[in-house]
Amino acid sequence: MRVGELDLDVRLDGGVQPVALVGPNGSGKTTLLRTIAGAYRPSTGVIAVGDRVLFDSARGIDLPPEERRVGYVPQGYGLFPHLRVLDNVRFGLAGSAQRDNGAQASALAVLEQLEAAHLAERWPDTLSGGERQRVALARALVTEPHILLLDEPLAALDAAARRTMRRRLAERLEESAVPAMVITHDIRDIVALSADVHVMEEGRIVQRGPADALAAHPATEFVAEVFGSPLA
Amino acid sequence: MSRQAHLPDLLGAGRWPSLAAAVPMLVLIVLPVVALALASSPAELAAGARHPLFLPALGLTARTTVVSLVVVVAAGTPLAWWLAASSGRWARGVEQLVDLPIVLPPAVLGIALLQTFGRNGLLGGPLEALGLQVPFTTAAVVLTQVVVASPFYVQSAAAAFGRVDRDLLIVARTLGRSPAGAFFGVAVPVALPGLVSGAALAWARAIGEFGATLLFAGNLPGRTQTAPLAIYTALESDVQAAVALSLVLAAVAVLLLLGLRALPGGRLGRVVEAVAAGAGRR
Repeated sequence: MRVGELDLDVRLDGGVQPVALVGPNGSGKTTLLRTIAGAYRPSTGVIAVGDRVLFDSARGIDLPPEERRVGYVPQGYGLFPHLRVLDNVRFGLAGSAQRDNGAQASALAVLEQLEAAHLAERWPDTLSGGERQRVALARALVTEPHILLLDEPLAALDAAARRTMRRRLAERLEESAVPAMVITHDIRDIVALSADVHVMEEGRIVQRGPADALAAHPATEFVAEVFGSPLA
Repeated sequence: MSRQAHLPDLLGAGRWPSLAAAVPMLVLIVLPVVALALASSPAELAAGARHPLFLPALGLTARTTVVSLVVVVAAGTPLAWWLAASSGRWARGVEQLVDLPIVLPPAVLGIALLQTFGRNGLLGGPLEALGLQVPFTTAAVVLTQVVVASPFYVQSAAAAFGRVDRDLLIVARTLGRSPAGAFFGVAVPVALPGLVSGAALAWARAIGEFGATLLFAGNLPGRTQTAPLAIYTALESDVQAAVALSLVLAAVAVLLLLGLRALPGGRLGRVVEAVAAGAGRR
């Protein structure tokens, strides 16, 4: 797959503020997250999380996904349909040296934090959208990733659930203290997450900054359209 | 009430003329099986089952098809995975090649196998140097079954692998699994219903294999005479034995068909995963 030119220099500091990735369909947002996760290999460039270099074409560094320590939550959450919730969350621990009981305990602890411990024995196809989102977050967080990559974590929810879930998601991201990169279409998500916005069009970052700055000085038509409406 | 409910009416499916037009095909499909079932009394069937061809042929069919099924799954799964994971002209071309044994007449396939593994065939020299003779052996029976049955498994498995959400595999990798770990931990269990139904179709095709086997493996009782060949042989001397054998094969086929229909969809992968997890904990 040809990803195209991508000129991107994103810096995350301290993990307090999530980065929101905004852009029209087909602008390359999902491709970018998957590239960071290691599913696609860029032709040139550097991907680093903190001090840790995951990919560097010049130095020939290309860590496989299993060594990148990224928590990837795809659109639709990507729960394994053949595993119960607890086994979904435990999936990332099974291969490690941890004893089975330890893995189960830490999986349950993370589920507990996300108020999803009561779902442990359920099958993914019996969960609501909000429940799936929490399980997927738990599954990503249990491996203690250095960055969370969330592809439209709120899109699968209906309007009412979305309102409460976006606030809860903001709280959880803050509690977890893991830097997060969130794809979203919705300006209200950005405001709730108090995210640092990166606008992506045709594989390039065209503008970045806090939502109100983008609203005041939109660089492109798309930015004006998304951020043009007065902020609530 | 719903739109779907009106659709059959709209297309005339509920009306007599279209029903009448649909019946001949159904009768043609079902009638031979009914006739077979009605052909013999139980006493005659019991006599047929005591025919000296009966048990050896069934036993040979059971042994050879189990071996060929194992080979088809073991060799076909990597090919199916490659087909599902690859896009582009090469993969589509290979897809066509995989279908060759379905469209080739069995007799042609038998000749082709002889031209490959026969004494004067493509691999005849090397095989002879190794002291191996393939044609007219039980190995030839298995080889033929593998060739004719594999397309059914490979195509079904490739389609099933193709339906596995790529994001699931990316997630599995980011959660620490190697490519092989993601394959066996996610791709296989998620695709399992398709793998199993493909394997069942392939098995059914292997059980029924006749023409290519006759040419490439011959019709030697105990060595290459599988149940379909025994039916062919018995028909000349003892029709009851042929009918009894046919009924057994028909019963196996119907059971396979029912088994496929009863496949519990997505739950199957969970059963396997649970068994594997249970074994792993011990």
